[in-house]
Amino acid sequence: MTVELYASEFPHSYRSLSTRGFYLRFVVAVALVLAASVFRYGWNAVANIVVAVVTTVVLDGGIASLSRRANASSDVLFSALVLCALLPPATPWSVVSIGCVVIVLVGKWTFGGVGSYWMHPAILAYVVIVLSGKGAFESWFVVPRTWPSTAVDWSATELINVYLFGTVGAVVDVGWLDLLFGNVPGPLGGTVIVTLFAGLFLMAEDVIPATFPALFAIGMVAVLLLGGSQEVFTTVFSGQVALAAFFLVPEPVSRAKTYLGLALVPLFAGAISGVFTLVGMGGASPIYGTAVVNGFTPLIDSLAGREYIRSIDEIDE
Amino acid sequence: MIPARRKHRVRPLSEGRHPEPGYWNAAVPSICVVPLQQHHGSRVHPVVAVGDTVREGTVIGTGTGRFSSLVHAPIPGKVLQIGEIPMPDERSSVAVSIELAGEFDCLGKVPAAHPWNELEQEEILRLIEEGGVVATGRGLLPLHTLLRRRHRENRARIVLDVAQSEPYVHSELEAAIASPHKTVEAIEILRVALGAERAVIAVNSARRRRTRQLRREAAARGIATVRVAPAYPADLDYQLANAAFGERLPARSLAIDRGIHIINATTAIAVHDAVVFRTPQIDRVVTVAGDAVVRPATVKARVGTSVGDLIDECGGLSSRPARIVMGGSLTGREVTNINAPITKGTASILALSDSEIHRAPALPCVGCGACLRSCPVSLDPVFLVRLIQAGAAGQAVRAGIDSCVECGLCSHVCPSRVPLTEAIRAARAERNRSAS
Ligand code: SF4
Ligand code: SF4
Repeated sequence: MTVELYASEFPHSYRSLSTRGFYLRFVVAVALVLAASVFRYGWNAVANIVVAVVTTVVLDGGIASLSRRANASSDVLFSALVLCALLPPATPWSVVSIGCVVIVLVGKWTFGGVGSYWMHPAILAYVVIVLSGKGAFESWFVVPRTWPSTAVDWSATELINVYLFGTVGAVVDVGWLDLLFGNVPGPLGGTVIVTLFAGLFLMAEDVIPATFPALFAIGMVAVLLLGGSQEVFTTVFSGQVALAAFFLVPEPVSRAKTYLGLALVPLFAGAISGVFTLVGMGGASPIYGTAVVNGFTPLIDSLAGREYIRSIDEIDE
Repeated sequence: MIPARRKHRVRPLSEGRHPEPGYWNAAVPSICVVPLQQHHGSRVHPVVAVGDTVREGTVIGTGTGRFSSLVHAPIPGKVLQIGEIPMPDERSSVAVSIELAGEFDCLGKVPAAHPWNELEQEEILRLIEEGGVVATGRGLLPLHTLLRRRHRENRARIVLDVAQSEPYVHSELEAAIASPHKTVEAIEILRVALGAERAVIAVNSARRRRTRQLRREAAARGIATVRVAPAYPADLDYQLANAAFGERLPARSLAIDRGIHIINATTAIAVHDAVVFRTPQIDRVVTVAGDAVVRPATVKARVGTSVGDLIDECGGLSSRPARIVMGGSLTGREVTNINAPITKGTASILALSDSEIHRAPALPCVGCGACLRSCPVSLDPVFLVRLIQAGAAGQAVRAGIDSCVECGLCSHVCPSRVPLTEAIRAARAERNRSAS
């Protein structure tokens, strides 16, 4: 019994959200976050964003037209912008462009193009960049221009150490408002309040369910409390946590498919991020925590009793 | 393994401008094209010839066998033509075209009511059969055939379905609200016809206020009302059996297999008219909606009225429709000819504008899981489609393809516009063809 698919006969109306529209909203949301970073970090941020957009669009468009396959470039564009937001502000543009090549070539097309990958391409590229140059990576953090101007008394060097050792607020006196407004060295997209607005936009547009960020935060807070952390509040108000909760865990292709998976994945991602924070993996713990769970999402989905197939080659009648 | 059913969580779907409440009688058309195959079952043959004069309600088509249903002339006049016409559901049917002439026997007259309380079960079933009543909404089978089906335990129960959850379609609700007395009396008649102990009315919980009178009339006769969620679909067999009698139907079984008869309001009213007034089913309450219609509304029209006439009845088209659909926006059929006639089973005519359809280019599945989460019978539609494409029919059956109720929801929610329902439907049709 082999049946060719044919043009849609019914239903006659669809949900307004299409795959392109879906990603476009993600792109708008992350662009909002990056717009705030331009204010904070100036031309360096602009250069990295432009390099990311150009590299991704040109490479992805080229591969799609050569392979003559249906494509939605906005999926990798979203990943490229998320990568920009995750990286430190002074990351050289060459590194950003290599990250985008990883996103397009490895993250997307190696698995067969739009909708076929099983790990968030931005997470993959981030992990590749960190593993390939840990020492250099740490030197790309810079002090942001503070906003709104607060009377925070801190020295840049100290705070960079704080970031790296994962004890924000423990060494210097940084209030939660400073964290909310991103007045600490962190990733390019570290202005938490803007990420929250972007997240609200995504939820209002029905692109991500509110349960994702909520369960991520619950998982992380629970583990931090159980681990006896004194810095629960300040840790959760970091740019990386907001980016992971709104742009990493809910990525449409690599996220869970089942109701159970949709609940467990963000919860586990938050919990593992908490564990990583407790063992001193620093501010990037939410990204690493999400990376681990992201890779196991199909397994978590299968807990819901679903057979999970990636390609029709796996079907053996 | 066929997955167990879980609670179905889908928000109410958007349905453009609401049609105005109530319905009116549409103008009687000067020509009615009456398809003889308005039900699923035995073939119906014309019993009139070109040039014959027919009265309102004269039998013009009849079939043989258990699954046949009579077809009556909806208007008085002269038979102009008899010929084959294509139907929106891909079948074809012989149709009798009648030109209006002469006097009406029913229209504008108060029909004489016949007492029914003394009638025997079989007598009521015979009147329903003579009235050509078709179970609208439930497979379009002749109602008398369904009612004659006896069950092992013989514990017949009735659910009057006023919930009708498909977006845009309000015909059952409006019919029941406009004639609460007839609707409730019809349940009583059906109770006698089936020897049913219990009857329940299922209404959409978002329409509580509008169904107040109906619920009151029902309560006065000891008929309970249950509310179902304002989601789509909300009136599947397993949902209504559970809501009405707390009965859990196993996967793939129908309510009727357990003696639960789900009857739509328009069918119930047709039963009332056939038994009490002895008038056949010659009209249909139809919702005409969609953003391209000037005045979305519900109208009662004669069977055989054309789609174009009904749209004109509602003020015509305000813009060029992207699609004209007979039936609901999810499960209806596209109409390519504006002269296509309505039948006893036509619940709605939709003239949908581009902005309602939300067309988008088809893309590969992005694995978002929306189809999986929306399926009301807990199937994994994209998994089924992959099996179908791989030719793995056996696995598709094991994964529950036969449980699919073809509600169209998986395709509706798919952001990549993967034709999921279409593929499942085509695969099942293909299998049925090769099996027969
Ligand atoms: S049409 Fe789709 S959503 Fe509806 S029952 Fe079938 S598989 Fe499930
Ligand atoms: S809704 Fe469409 S894109 Fe999403 S998983 Fe189902 S088939 Fe794939």
